[in-house]
Amino acid sequence: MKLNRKFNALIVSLLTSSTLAAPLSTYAQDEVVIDPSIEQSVSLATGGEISSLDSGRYAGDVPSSDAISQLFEGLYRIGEGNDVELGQAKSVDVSEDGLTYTFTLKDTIFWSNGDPVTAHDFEFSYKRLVDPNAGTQTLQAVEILKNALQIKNGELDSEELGVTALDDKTLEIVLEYPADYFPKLLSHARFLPISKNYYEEVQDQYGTSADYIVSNGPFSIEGWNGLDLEWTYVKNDSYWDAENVYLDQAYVSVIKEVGTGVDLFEAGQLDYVTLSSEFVTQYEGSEFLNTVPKATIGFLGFNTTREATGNAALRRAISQAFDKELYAQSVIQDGSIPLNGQVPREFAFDEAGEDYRDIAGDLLVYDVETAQADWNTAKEELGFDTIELELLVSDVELSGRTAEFLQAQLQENLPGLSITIRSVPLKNRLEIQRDLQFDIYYGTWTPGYQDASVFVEQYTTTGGINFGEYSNEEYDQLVTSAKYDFANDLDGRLAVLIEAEQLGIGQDAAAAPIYQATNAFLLSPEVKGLRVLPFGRSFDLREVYIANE
Amino acid sequence: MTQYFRYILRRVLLMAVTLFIIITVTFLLLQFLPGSPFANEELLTETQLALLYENYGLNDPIYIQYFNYIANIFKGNLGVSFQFNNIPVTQIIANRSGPSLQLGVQAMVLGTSVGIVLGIIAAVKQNTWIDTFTSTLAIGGRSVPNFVFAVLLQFVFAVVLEWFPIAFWRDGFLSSVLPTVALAISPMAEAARFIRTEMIEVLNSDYIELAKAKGFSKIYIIGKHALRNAIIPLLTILGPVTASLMTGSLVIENIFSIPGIGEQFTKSILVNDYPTIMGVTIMYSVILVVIILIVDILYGLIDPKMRVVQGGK
Repeated sequence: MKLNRKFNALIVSLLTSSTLAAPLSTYAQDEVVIDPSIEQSVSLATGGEISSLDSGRYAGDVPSSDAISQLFEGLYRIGEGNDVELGQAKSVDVSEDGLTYTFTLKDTIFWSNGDPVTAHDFEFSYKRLVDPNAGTQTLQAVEILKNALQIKNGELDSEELGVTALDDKTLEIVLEYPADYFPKLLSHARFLPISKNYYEEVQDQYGTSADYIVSNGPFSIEGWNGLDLEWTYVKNDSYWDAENVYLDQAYVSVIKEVGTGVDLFEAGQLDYVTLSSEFVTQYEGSEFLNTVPKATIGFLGFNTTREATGNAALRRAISQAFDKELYAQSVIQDGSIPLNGQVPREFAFDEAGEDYRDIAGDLLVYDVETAQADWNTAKEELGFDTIELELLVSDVELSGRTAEFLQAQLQENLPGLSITIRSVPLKNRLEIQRDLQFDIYYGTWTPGYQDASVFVEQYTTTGGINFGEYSNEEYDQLVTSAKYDFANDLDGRLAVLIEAEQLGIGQDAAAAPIYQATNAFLLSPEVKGLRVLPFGRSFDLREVYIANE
Repeated sequence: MTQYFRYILRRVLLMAVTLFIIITVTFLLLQFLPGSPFANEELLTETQLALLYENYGLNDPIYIQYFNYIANIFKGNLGVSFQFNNIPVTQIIANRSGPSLQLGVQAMVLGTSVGIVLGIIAAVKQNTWIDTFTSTLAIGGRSVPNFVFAVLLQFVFAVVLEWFPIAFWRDGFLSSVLPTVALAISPMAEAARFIRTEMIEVLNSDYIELAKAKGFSKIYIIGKHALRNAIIPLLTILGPVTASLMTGSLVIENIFSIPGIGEQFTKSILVNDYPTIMGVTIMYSVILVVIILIVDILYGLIDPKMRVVQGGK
């Protein structure tokens, strides 16, 4: 016995001395090496104030969504590449028909006030989200939950929502239709949970300041009183995966003038700042510049209820008659890329991880010959030699330049076409569009959830941005089929969406895709592990650490 | 003196009426703003939208909303912000006005005092190179937008020389220096121009000739007599100058990332946050109207004396 104890003591001392002897402590998780002499803090710029930290009440704005995404964690969290992985959930069981998800939550998850996170918190949060009396703002994507739409319309009580806590750690979610992108949806800021107990304590004050939330995510927040222009994210030690969070604090400042942000970056006071187009050209070739494609698209919408723009050949002609590459390089100049289709790149992938856009191929590419052939067809069918069409744009600088570019290109490549430009404030533009008082409009759009269907759905007869009232029964049928008939068959579903896109865009040119936007930003090279995403939150700080070059 | 009192009283009453009219007109105009106060309105169902409108009292007929609003003002309640998740407008104003008012006052003081000095120098040294130089400065200050100066100042004194912080409101007085200078350019230019013109006229007038003949020194003449006369027209523009400071501050606040009310105001307009728009408009109006009242009072103080002097010419 004595020998054993001595032996144990020897082993223990050997082990401890070997770790002490190492010059750097190594958290050997995916090759992350932390140098203890480097302060693990980062300074970030954001574009606006936080409107609320309440995932149900924030105004849908980016700064709030970014903040909420660092402080809370949902059933899934951002994982590798474009994927999500289980977050607060330990495991999930999906039914054959893809309609029922049963989650088992981890035992190690807690709110920052010590309460355990339970399935009741999730049930409470989601029911609140669809309850029209709860004063929450919501997301169209929430309609995927069973009965959500009827509850939003006041036809059913929020108790009927297909989200049930079977016990403290088991959550059952029933969907209206199968959706393989449901995990991604659950990592969106709106779907992040709220502590039911805590909310019942503070009620309406919840989310109005740093003192009125409890976090279950990698960070908590300090120094935000509801109106501040600066605050700090501090590592949350009660986070279940806290040992893999390396960042101690992140200082955030609201900077509304890109030039100021750039100055601060150059002076070493900021590590991350987003750029606008003028600065992108300035920083081209710099090691600090990064560009990541975004899910925002720029496009032309056509009023199909009017004679001229109601003609598919005319629409196709216009869609193919301007040089998208030239546009991206000489007009936008911020790294945005041409878009040849409705669904942008880096947004949707098949089972094997291949990009949707690659599988579907390019639609309505810039091609003067084809454009002119379609143009002549249109001339014949409509019986005109010259025609005047009005292009409606917002009175924002980029829209103005876009309009001028398009006017020049279209008038040159389509003989007989004359374009007049009408420039109005955004809100007026939307009203004009709703009243169908336009020929063509230029707009941009960012989707509400990450799946190819969100783009393709827009041009069904009741589609969200289908201001031009394009309506094709076959298109509608394809989209509906894609929605309901392909439980757990991602590739099959995408194939149908591709077919629909080919019909609605490629053939009928319901809209003319122009470009896909990018996130362009400056980042200090010492900041590692920062995730800048094409969709959803602007960045994810969970895996950030600071290291020398 | 009672006549003076009555003068003041009339002015105060006029002030109240003006405020009332401003509030009413703004309220009405807001009804015509396109768009809705609820972000992502397209995503809301009919029911939700109806409930939200009900919640915020937007369904009541306009005169009832108006009546409620006025009644609330007397209770000190300016409503709740739509965009900031139910934070009272009074809180937003209280929280954010500090920096803007500080900048405004500092810019006013700096601008007018420097402007007056420049104006005097230009007038006294009329038609010399000094005059041309200061006049050019003044014209430059009027024509170049203040944000150009702001960015230049920021670059030279903060980025390159590092004498002042680049942005934010963290360093107390130092943080306010560059924005104040940028904002002060416009009042300075106005003051210089006015003072120069007035001074030239005053300096050439009879009673000044008399003072000179009496042997008073130039500085004494300027300080005691000329300035007082020349300042009157300057007082007139104090109102508009204040107004331009209030609106001009928004760009400066953005450039220096200062938590002020200027850019908050603009944002509220863009997102249809009616209560905040109304609240800030009222605040600006009160400030402006009070300044005009002060100007009127000062007029009353200065003018009678002048009338006496001229009468005794």
